[in-house]
Amino acid sequence: MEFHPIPQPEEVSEREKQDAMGAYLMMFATTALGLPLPIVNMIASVVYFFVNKSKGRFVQFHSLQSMYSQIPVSLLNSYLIVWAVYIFANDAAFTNVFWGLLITAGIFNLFYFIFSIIGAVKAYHGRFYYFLFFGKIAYIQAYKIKNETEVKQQQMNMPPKM
Amino acid sequence: MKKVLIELLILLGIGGVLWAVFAIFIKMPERPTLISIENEQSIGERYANSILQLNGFTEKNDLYIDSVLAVTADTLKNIQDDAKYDYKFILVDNEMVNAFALPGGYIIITTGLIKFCETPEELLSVICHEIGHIEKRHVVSRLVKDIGLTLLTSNDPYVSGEIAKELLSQGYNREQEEESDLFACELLLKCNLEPRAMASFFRRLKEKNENGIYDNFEILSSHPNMNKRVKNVLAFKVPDGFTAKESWINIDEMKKRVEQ
Repeated sequence: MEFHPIPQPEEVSEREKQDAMGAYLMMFATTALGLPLPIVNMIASVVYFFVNKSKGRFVQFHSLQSMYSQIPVSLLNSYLIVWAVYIFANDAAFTNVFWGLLITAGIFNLFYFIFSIIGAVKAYHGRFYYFLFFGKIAYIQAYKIKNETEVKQQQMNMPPKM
Repeated sequence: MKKVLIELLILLGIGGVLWAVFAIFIKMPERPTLISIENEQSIGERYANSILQLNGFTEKNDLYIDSVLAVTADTLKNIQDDAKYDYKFILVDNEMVNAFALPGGYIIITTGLIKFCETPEELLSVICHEIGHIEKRHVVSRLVKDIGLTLLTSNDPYVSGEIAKELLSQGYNREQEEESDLFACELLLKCNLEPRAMASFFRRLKEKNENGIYDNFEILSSHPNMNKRVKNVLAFKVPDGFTAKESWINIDEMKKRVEQ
């Protein structure tokens, strides 16, 4: 697997840094809107990724990392909301299995929140920050050289042969 | 790629382990309500009087019965490891065979119920069943669900009056009834009393009901599937070598007193 070289902080433009940071901060802005239905956050991050996709691999990486890490948290939150509504509607009991998942989801949300802030700060400084699992997935998708044409395109300008 | 998979497994593992640990070790309420027990007790106190007045119930005071019920309240509270309420019994002079739990630990029982019970264990099984509704917070969660928190805590006398009437016509769902039946059996067993006494009470009440004397008994009326509940009570497992003791209640004396 071959990868494009990753830029150093001084090689990333201010605009890219801000857009990359925005990928994490946008999540906080949509949280209030998405609280009743956490799936809204996920849709917002997908939209953000597609809008900023063309702004360079650095922005792409951070948008993807933010989006991917949000998927399990949002799904978990949505599932818990549906489960709670079902319990209320049927006057059923809040079992320990439910409480266990709720607390686990709370912990995951907290970690997601903390890591998103770290990610945003790092992105603002033109740095990379890799979340467990999601960081690698985002890096592969943003920086992997996808086919030979891309390799050739990369090597179109060559130094003169001496 | 291998590292990516390992990290995914680590994440899933952490999630799974946390879920399992919390599900096993954390003790959380099965029916959390928005009302604290203290608040619930003050609601119960307020409605207990209104219910008696609005439904035309006369409170029957008898020194002997009152003391038996006070002993019963203390015994049944102290035998539990985690009882949250103090139980307060209100005996009303009414021929209906009835008992119902109010918020905050109040239990209304009718003189008709005492007359109907053939053994003290039958009476205690009904009382324990109502305590089950209280301890499992069925009473207050049902009221919050049906009436709403704002109305329930309202001080408007008209609203309170309507709620007081409503309290008696509310039923529990099947799961709550079965949960209270099980609670009653377990509590009776802790007291070394015959936990299956409720089955004979149900059977006789059902026969009475079939004979057309229907008293809208809360235990019976909200659930037509009485046979299943009798079966569940009869299937309740008692420890090997269990011998039931005599209860502290003299039902004949109580009957004599309520007849007076």
